[in-house]
Amino acid sequence: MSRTPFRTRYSAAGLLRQGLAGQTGWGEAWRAPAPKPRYDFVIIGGGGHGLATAYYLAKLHGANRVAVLEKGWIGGGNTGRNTTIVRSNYFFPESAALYDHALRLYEGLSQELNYNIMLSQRGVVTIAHSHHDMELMARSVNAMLINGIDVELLDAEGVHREIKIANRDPDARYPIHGGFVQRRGGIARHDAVAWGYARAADAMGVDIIQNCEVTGFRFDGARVVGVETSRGPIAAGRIGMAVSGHSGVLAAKAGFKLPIQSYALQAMVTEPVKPVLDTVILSGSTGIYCSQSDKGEMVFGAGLDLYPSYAQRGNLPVGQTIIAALLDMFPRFRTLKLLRQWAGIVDVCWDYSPLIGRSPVEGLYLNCGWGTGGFKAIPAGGWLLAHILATGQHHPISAPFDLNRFTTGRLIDEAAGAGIAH
Amino acid sequence: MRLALGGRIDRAKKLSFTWNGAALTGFTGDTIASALLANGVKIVARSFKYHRPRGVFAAWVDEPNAVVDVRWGDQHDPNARATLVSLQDGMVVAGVNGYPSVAHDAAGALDLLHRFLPAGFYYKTFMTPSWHHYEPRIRAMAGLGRVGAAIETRAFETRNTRCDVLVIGGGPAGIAAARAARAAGASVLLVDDRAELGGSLLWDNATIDDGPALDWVATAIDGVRVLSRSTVFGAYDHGSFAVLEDRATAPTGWAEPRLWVVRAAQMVFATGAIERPLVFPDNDRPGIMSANAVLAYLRQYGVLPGRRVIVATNNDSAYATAIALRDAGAVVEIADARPDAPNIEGIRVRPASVPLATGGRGGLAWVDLGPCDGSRRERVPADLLAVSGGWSPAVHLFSQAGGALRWDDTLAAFLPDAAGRHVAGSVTGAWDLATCLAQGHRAGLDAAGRASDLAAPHAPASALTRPILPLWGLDLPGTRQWVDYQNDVTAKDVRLAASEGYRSVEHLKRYTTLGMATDQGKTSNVNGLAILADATGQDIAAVGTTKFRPPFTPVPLAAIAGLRAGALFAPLRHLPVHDDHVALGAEMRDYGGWARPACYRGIGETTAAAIKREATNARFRVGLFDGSSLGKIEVQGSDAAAFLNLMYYNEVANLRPGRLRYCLLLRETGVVYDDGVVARLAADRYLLSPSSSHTAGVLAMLELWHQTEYPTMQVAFHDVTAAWATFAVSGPKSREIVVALGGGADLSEQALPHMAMTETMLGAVPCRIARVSFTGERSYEISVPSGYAHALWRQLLDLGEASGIMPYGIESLSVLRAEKGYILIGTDTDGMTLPVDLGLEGPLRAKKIDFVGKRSLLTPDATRPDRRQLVGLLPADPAVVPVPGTHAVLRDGGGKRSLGWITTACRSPVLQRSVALGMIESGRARMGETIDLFHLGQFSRATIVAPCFYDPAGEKLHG
Amino acid sequence: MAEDWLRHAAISHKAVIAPASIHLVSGGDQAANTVVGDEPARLWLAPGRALVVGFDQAAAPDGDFVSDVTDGQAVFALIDADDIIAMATTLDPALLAPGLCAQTIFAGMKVLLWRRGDAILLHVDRPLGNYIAAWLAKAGTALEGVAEK
Repeated sequence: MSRTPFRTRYSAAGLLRQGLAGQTGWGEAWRAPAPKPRYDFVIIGGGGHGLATAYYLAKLHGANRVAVLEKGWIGGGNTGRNTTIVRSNYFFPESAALYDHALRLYEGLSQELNYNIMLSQRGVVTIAHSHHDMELMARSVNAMLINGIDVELLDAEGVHREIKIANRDPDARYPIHGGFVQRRGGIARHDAVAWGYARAADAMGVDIIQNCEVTGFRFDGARVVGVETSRGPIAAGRIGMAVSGHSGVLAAKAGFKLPIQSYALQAMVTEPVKPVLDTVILSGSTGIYCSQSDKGEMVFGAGLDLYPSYAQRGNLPVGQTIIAALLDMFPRFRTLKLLRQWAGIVDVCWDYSPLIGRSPVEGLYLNCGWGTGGFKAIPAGGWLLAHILATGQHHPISAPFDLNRFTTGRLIDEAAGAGIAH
Repeated sequence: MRLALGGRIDRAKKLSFTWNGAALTGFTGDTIASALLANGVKIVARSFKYHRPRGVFAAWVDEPNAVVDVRWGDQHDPNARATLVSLQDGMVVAGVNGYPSVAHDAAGALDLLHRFLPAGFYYKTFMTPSWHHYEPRIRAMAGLGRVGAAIETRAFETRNTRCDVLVIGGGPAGIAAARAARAAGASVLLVDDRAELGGSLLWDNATIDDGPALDWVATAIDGVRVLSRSTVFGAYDHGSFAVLEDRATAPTGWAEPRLWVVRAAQMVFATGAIERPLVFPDNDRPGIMSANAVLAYLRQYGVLPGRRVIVATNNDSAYATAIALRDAGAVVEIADARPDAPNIEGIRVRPASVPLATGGRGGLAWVDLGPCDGSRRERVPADLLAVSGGWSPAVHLFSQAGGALRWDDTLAAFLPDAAGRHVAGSVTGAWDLATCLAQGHRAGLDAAGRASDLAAPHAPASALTRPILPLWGLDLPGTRQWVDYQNDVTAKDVRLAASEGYRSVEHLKRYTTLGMATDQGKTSNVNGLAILADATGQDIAAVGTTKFRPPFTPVPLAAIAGLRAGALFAPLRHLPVHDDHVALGAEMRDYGGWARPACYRGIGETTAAAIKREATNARFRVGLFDGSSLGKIEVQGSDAAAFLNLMYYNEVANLRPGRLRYCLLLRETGVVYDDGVVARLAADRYLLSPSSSHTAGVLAMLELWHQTEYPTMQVAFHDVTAAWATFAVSGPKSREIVVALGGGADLSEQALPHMAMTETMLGAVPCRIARVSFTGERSYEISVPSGYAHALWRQLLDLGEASGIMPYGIESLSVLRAEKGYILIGTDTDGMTLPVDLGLEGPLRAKKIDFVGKRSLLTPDATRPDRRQLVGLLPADPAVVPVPGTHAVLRDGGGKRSLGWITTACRSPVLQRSVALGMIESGRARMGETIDLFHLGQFSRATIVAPCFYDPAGEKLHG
Repeated sequence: MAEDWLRHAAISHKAVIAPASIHLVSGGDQAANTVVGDEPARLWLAPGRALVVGFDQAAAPDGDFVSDVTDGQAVFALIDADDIIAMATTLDPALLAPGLCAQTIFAGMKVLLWRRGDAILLHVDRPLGNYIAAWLAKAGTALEGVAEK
């Protein structure tokens, strides 16, 4: 793996130097090149997964004719809209391998990309609200321990030690019975992940082309050989698509369907307050997940708006449910105010596991179906898609997530694996 | 200072409050901000990043600086906007994010390092050794207020309402629109965020229809429903709007904010405009305020924020402020950026003049004025600099509702592109009153969709008509020109971001955090994107705005959650005899949304002891169990049998009337969704019993398949779950009790064998008796209408007393069914479990017709031999009950692989030892094998056996 | 014995009434959201499905599928309930004129509402009676100066 030729390295010393020079010498984090007529690899989608794919293609596979096509501005889709949680506390060995691969890549990412992604491994606590929850949780925790994931089962007191402001009322509607913690889990700065990958990819010659929408595909027989875009046609050796919520729309342009549905998933942010929540929390019964950003804002979300939508909005009734759930977990947050609310478009696969690998169209490869869990997987999604694009073969980690699992029946149903009502 | 006269405050009602411990006074009608200004308080806060001192800048929702901590009685707001909070007697107000105080903040020293801390600096450093090293200190410096320790429990109300026309904004345009719409016969709701209607009319001293504007306001709203102190903060689909009503000035002095959800057929956006600051060096000093806000403080609150005032502007509107200040006795100069200057009596007007620098400790003391290029400058003493950089129409809601915007170069503003939506007033870029009134009148009629004879209100044409000179910062290197006051973003930060490639307006926002503070960029967004346009050589129109999203202003979470808090957060269903269980000492737990008895503890009895007692008693004598939450779906129709046969895994069409069968319901993936007993009551009538937590889902599944796939089949489904109470009398002595119950049923073994049912009467009470067992003992499930549940429960306890009847709970039942290997959906099964895994392959082979999920049972994965299968386990140590969730593992050198897990485990009363059920890979092929178990790092051993520990032949069911 | 058995309403609450009979009926048809008749009153639930309050078995047409759900519902009679309806539902109270009924979400629960005399009758699944009662109590305290109805 070669050293990335950054034009200007970021460092404290650099800030000092630039500070004295009036901050004039940093240069562009990435270029804005015009699209070339042909690339060896074209990645459709300039979010975290797409940019990571391009980076690993250049970095690990020596590819030097790579383009990322983004219809808007990079990181503007789900990568910029999620609640920034990273974790690998999954049930099935296949999922554990996938998400822990991502987490391990995250752990070295700031150094590797020379961009501070602010990975804060403050711990992710998943909460059990009943005796039954605790039994199912033991099943999950043991699975994770066997799969080599760092988790620890907690009783009620253990949870309250981690989360001092959680609801202590034993008569609460969903009292806390216990939980488990993954200490290596936490949060990272989502925009920085996209920008960090973009800068590093660009430094290695990847063309990042924004405001370039793919409007169609060009075929040679059954094989796709290029794309039509709002900035002209581009020929391609192999094409990878990483467009999350719009996967179905893009697939339709290539003439196939995917077993996914796109829903709005709301996220919300409060006004910033002094530090009061030091871990990430997930709660099955209330559906809430929440953390406090380094700026002091509570960042949280819960369930989907359960109608298919591309509107990136969500509606008030679900928003009210999400907030009620947050306040049930944290009654002391009742004095806080909502500052921002938005939604992403989550492409939910039938078994809540992603799709990585060949599409039904030759020459076009998939990385989608991450549903509500795409941010934590960005490094692995990119790494694995790069692998299959470069070699034509699955890496063992991505093989179980191929589209063909819907034919063999070998689904990886994480929601089911965790015992959540099916 | 407070003027002796003037303002719309009530000088008869003096109020006391404290600011950082100091006792101050104000009046009813003041906001905290106006009271602080009246008391000469200059520094009210610190900026987020550099902890620079901040003063009050604006007078309403656009305030970027004055975030304070407010306590009053038991109310607490850690991040209150001082310009929005009505002053109350006894309020305790404090600065936030300043140590030891906002007036003297030690962290202000950070500002000395500012040249090393530009926007986004934290992305370029803090990587070695890792972010964790720096994060705690940075977190401690971030955040504004502190979350309080108290838990507030007030009930927040939500109201739903509707109207023909929703008018958003109670300024002149909005009032004109409401008036016109009302005259045209529409039901009108006018929403305005101030305590008094009128908007700018509250300080403009304007004339409408030849009389005082506020007199016109009072008559104009006759017949119009008005919500005052209410902010429309969100526009949602289908004409739905969320409104927060602040009731702090209710007659009682305080009431909780109320959330309104308004459904409007039409709406008029009369949301006004927000004044922009001018961008120039040192423009963030306390004592620099929005010119229009200064006018508002004068006229609304009788507050003069300074005595030596410079008004710096690039447009006409600030002249009204200058004149009002002069009339209030201040010494006023105007610095107009534009080249020509009118004569104003008593005010020196400097043309082509802008502020080039400001100075003063603890607040403004002087301003350097000169031309934009800085070639000359004159230092002018001043304690107030009122600035106006132009006006930005408040297009937030219009945009949230899907409206598009267009940039107007002449007005230097983003205007709503109406395209079928109704907009009126300064939000359209109309700054003069006459136009606003005319637009409002027209919009009201258009929204109402009907004509009216009502004449539009009129006002004199405005005197000043010189166009704005757009000015987006000054080209003076080495100066700090502020764009976002709260987040400390300068013009240079914007240019730096652009030069680094963050050229999209959304990248600018996220990279510099411009517009992401608690004021949501109301005074900074347009300045920022205009500077970005200049830095990237684009038109402002091409740069565009960031996306507008709810909420328009920060909204208390508790108000949005409403009454849905505490016990009301989610329903807990009660059984018909809930009170009886509680009276018997039941430990009630939430099972799938139902409150059900886990067990019934005697005085001083532990849960474990109660479970053991109840299970033993039900196994060897007789127990009483409340199964009322089990689903009951009646299915009737000539095609009932055929339809149910399509739905269920098992054959149900050949069931004889009066007979029952245990059946599985599968999903299309073949996964077991639910199990339960199907009873045939008659040729065309069935009774299904889905599990308690799946009844709604099963009903939905039946309806979905019927309505979408088999709509011509004659069958209907009635959910009668709640109409019947069901009690199981279970145990060797059960029969005598049921016989003693009376009624006309033939309870002989021949008439009512196991898995049969009968319908009878107990007196006048209809009754169903079914021989169904979940314990493995002879059992009768007796059902009566829920109204008679208590009577039946008591009767059974009485009848059974001599036999030693005891009620038993779910945990006790779970022990009994575990001994028999009877599964619990969701415990022994999960979303991967197929019928074959449970050893129930028969129907797949026998059933010839298609049924839901059949195809999925034939996939390679469904037919591989090494699937996890239901087995029994006997732990090596019979005294130890393994924890459910313990895994079976294959130990392979240093590694281990999971073979499955224990799903159920308990101490068996019959065998007097621990037993378990589990799903183990190739389980049925491993009978007799001893395997390793793993739980939280500890290993143990167990032997795999058949999943039934007691009476495998089922003789006790008939005994 | 059974002859002496008392029949209990869903919940002890001053607003709860106990109609003599309530039946689910599949069969027949009527216009959506209408109430036909008074005693019995037939309330539209879905195409070909109705809730009949005050049912007369003899009047049921042959072939109809009838289930007795008298004990399966908690029925609240709400007087002067416009505020409560506005707090709990998005329904326009004007739609609860005599002769109309509405299925909607009330405080998050599925209910059936219709007007009878000067009361609005609220039908909810019996096990949720306690939740509705608790909600009404809390809503009563949220309304300024308005006592629990």
